[in-house]
Amino acid sequence: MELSNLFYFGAFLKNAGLIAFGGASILVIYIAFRDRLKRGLYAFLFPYHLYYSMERMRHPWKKQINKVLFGGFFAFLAGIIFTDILSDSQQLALALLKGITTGSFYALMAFAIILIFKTTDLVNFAQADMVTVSVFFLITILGGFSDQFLTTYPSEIAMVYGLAILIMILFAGGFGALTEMVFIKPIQKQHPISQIILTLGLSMFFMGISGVVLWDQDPHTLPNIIGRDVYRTSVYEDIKTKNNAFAGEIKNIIVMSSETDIKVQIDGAVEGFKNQKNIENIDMLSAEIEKAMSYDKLEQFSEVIDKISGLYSYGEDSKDIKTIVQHLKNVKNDLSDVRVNLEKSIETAQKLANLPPKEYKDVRDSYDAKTKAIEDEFDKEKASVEASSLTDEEKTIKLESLQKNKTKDLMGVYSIDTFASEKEGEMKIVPPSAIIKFTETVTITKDGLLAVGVTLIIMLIIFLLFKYTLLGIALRATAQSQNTSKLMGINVDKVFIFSWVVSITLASIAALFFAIATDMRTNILTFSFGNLMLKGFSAAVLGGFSSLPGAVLGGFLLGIFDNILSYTDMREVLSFGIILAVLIIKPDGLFGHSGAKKV
Amino acid sequence: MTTFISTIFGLAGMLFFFLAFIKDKPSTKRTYKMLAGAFILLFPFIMTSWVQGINTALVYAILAIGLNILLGNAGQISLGHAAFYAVGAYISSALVLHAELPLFLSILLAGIGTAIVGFLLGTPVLRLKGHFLGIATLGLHVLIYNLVKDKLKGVVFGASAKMPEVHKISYLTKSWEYSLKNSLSSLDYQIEILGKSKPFYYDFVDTITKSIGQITEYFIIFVILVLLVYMARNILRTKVGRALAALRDSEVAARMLGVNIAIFKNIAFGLSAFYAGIAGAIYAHTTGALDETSFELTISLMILAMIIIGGIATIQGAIIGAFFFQVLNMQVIPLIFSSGKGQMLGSTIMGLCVVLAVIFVPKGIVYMLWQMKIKLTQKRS
Amino acid sequence: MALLEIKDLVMRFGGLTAIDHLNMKIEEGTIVALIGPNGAGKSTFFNCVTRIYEVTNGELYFNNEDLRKYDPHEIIKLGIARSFQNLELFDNLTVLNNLLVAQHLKIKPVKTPGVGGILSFFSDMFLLPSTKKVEKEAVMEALKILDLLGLRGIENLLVSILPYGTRKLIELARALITKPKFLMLDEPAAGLNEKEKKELGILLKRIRDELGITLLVIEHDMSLVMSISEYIYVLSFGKPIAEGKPSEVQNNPAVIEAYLGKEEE
Repeated sequence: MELSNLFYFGAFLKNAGLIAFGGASILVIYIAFRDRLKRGLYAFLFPYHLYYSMERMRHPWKKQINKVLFGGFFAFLAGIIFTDILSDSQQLALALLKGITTGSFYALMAFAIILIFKTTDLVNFAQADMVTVSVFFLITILGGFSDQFLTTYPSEIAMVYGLAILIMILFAGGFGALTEMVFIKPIQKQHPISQIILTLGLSMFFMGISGVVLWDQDPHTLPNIIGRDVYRTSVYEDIKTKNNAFAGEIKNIIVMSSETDIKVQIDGAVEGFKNQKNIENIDMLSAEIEKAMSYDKLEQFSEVIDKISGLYSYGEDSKDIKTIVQHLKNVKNDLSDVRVNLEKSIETAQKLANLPPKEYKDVRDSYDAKTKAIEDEFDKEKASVEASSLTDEEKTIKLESLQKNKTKDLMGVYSIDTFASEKEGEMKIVPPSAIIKFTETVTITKDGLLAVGVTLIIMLIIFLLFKYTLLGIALRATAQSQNTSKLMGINVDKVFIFSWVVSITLASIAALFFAIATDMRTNILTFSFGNLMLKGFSAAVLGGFSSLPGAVLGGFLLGIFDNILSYTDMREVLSFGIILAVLIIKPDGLFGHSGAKKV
Repeated sequence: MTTFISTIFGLAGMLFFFLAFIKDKPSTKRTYKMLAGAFILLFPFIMTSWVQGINTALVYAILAIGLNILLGNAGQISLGHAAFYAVGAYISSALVLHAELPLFLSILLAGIGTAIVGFLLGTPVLRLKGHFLGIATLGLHVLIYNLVKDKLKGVVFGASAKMPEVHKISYLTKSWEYSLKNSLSSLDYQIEILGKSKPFYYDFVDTITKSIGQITEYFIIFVILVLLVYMARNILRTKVGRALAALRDSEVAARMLGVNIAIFKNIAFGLSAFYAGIAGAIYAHTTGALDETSFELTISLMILAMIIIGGIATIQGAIIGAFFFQVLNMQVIPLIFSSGKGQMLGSTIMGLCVVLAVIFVPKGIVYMLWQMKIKLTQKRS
Repeated sequence: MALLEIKDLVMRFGGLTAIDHLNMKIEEGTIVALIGPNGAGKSTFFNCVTRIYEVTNGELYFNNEDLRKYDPHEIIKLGIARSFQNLELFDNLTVLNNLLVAQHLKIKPVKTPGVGGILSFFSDMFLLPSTKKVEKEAVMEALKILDLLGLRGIENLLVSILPYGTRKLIELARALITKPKFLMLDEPAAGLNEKEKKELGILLKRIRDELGITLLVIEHDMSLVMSISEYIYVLSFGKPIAEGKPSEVQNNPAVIEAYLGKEEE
């Protein structure tokens, strides 16, 4: 198996980074203790001593040590990315490309958050839910068109859709303005905490409005703007059962499909690719199968299955995967059956994974025996049918039913029920199996690319607006100092309303693209704190809460990291992990600057 | 008929509390306080259907008091307090199930354990203020929530994720429950077999028997609440409480006067986590099923709303806010709307209440009552 | 050695040099003034001495102690107290509570070393007699200071409702109650009328004479400065431009230029 250059480079980075970081940390801790030793026991117990020590360190090489510390840390991270996460430059390229796509949504969301923060000194925690209202409004408008429009893509659809989106933009702007005037203005003079709590209340209120009063809590699908996929991949992986000796040696299978083509690649991973995630959700499994193929094209579905099963031509357990896959084939016409069968197999396989080696072997042996018995019987019956005096048609029918029974029996061999014996020492026959599991579906859609384009254009417009128009200047002035702006004759109230209008509009556009491009079924929680909003926040924090260009950059950076980490388990952890990490180490983010109060 | 009595009783109770607050003359005040006290004792027997809901309100009140210490008194925003609630519930459950400690000791240790967690978690967010602190605590909540949801549930509870009956608070009066059931069945025997007429107290005994567990919980939780309120009140009036208030009002001045703001920020987190932990432990030992929807973000926000609407920086405000919300949730919403949409609608109305409260009554119900009190006393003079 | 010795102090914020090589010596028992036009770096200097800012360079010694070893909340233990230009009172607390916070380090219900803190906390939580005793003592102290400054009667009022002049006095009281050796006042006369300024001058002198506290005062009111200080340091744009006795500084052309600008030719 070939290891790519990326891997070697990554390994080097990882080790060098670790050494640098470790060394610098030890040095810092030593210096901190040296200066604080007179404090006694408490100095060792309270981390804040160490933490502030880094700020107060008076060592002449302080700056260099800091550089080594952070440099080492990031090198280590990069190293991990290149060794464990990305297997080759193709994945890297994919991640980058996709990162920029999703990054554009995060960037717009972050921009919206920071715009309001900069001008009105308020964090709009209700942004997610206001955006939900806008998008649901759009869905309502589109609901006025019949279904057939929404499932095909003639060029007229783009125009109608575009018109609807324009209406939504106007709505979003108006909504933003209305919210500012009705809810925000009255509390302008209150304590910041009260303001934050007001926005939280608004958040709950708007979510409820969307979920109960005006619309509902069901998910809806938004149609695409331009077209479907450009390029999609799904990554299938084996889970190693606990007893490695018995598990298959294949590390992963990659199935790539576009509208016209399917490719299968095996073992594209690098040594040490470690992700072991249990399938938790049968829906996920079938959804991924569905997605990886062109829609409603079951022939290709089975083609892929063939390819998968064909690939398992080595390793002791190839038979087992084959058998599972065989089931898929045999019942492929009814997807729900697939689910049930797979479910059972997975359940038993998981149980099996916990057996000690000897029992495992016994189980496998008895499984082999039983399977052989069933196959022998089938062969016998098949032979007798073929030798009988029935017509060809009748023979075919009979064979089919025999086949079905055999399948059922084989399945019975490893159904959960046969495993259910509680008596000690009596082990039933279950199959070991390598379970097909998934990581992320990496999708780049045409709409995604459109989103990037739109984002860049919007950023350009905003930039020009801020720099060259009076409104933009008024906005920037207000952001710097409200009172001075008032004295200069700027109508600060109007500026506030304007910033809310722009903010909600941008956020709505971002959310809309997010929903379309990631093909998500949109419900009231899609844009909320568990999801898009959190990422928007992370991007804002990463870029620096007081820097508008920082927000945009933060968004793209976050998008790239998000997609790199989509190859691992830790994707969700990333968003809030970044928030916490940045806030702890450098609250100003990459580009922000904090004002200090003068005392 | 009973509903009528309940309603009158309930309204009377609220009146007693209100008057105990308003009246200044010591003798009148004392009378109303005693009436309010009587109300508290008789409540579970007369308004028995409310007990379950009120128990939840009491637990939320404990949570609210804790958050109030952090937010109202120390001025630190925490948007993720429900996380500590969860931690407390899990620690107590683990102690009871795995270490087999007695019930009340577990609850206490759960509180202390959560306090330690809170104290430690305060450290990374020391430098942050205002919005940033809010966002960071939000992040912490999500982190802890995911941890608890996926990993710990199975570890603590095994497959069932339920607290066994024997460890619940209601178990304490199991024997009384049995004897009541006996009396009830002998009454039944007399009525059905011997043909005697139903005594007037039959319904009453029946209701009590069914709810004896909850009534026990009510009294126990109430006692715990009183104790915790006493502790909070004392803390806030002495050195630590003052240091926290100083921390809120002017960090720099506090530093200049010798207050180690870093440690006290940690202490603020730890203290409020203690309360949340106790509340969580009580929750675990009453409800029993550690359902993660009880620890969601909406709960954090709900508690926040409670102290804002009730009256920030006051203990009474926290309690009033908790009861206000719980009563709203319990009685008003089901009355108006059918149960399917009930919960979401609950948070909608809650959100609306928060918004209206911040705009019109920014300092909370307690403040409004103070204003009323001043106006009423002025009128007289 | 002098009570406060500053050697070659440099304070930079990024590219801006707020204090540029300042040297200062303040002898015990004196009243020293620090003057200069707005933005000269005077308040910054206070923040450096009280360790709120980490100095870029230079040495600070108080009573032979190297100040740079201390955290801001430890400065008070050395005997340094200060007031603030923009009044940093605890607005939501009463006058009494403001003064009680100032006694934070002195209120110790349980005095055993090491665990005393936690035990004190428990004592506080349950209002044990030890707590009641020390709280009472602290309140007595606070009332004494209020008496000294003629402010009795307002102790239970919220500071936010009090008039400006009274609030300034309360901040002064708060600093005094810590029984400092060295008191740094940042524009104590700002916003006061003539009569109040005169009274302040007398009060400051009394503080030095009767309580033996050394004073360092930032002030703009020249007559007040001249009447009470024995030594003056002048800062302009972070640079020390003059120092000396009041009469010397008064006629120093550099000082005049800094305040009034260059004379038109």
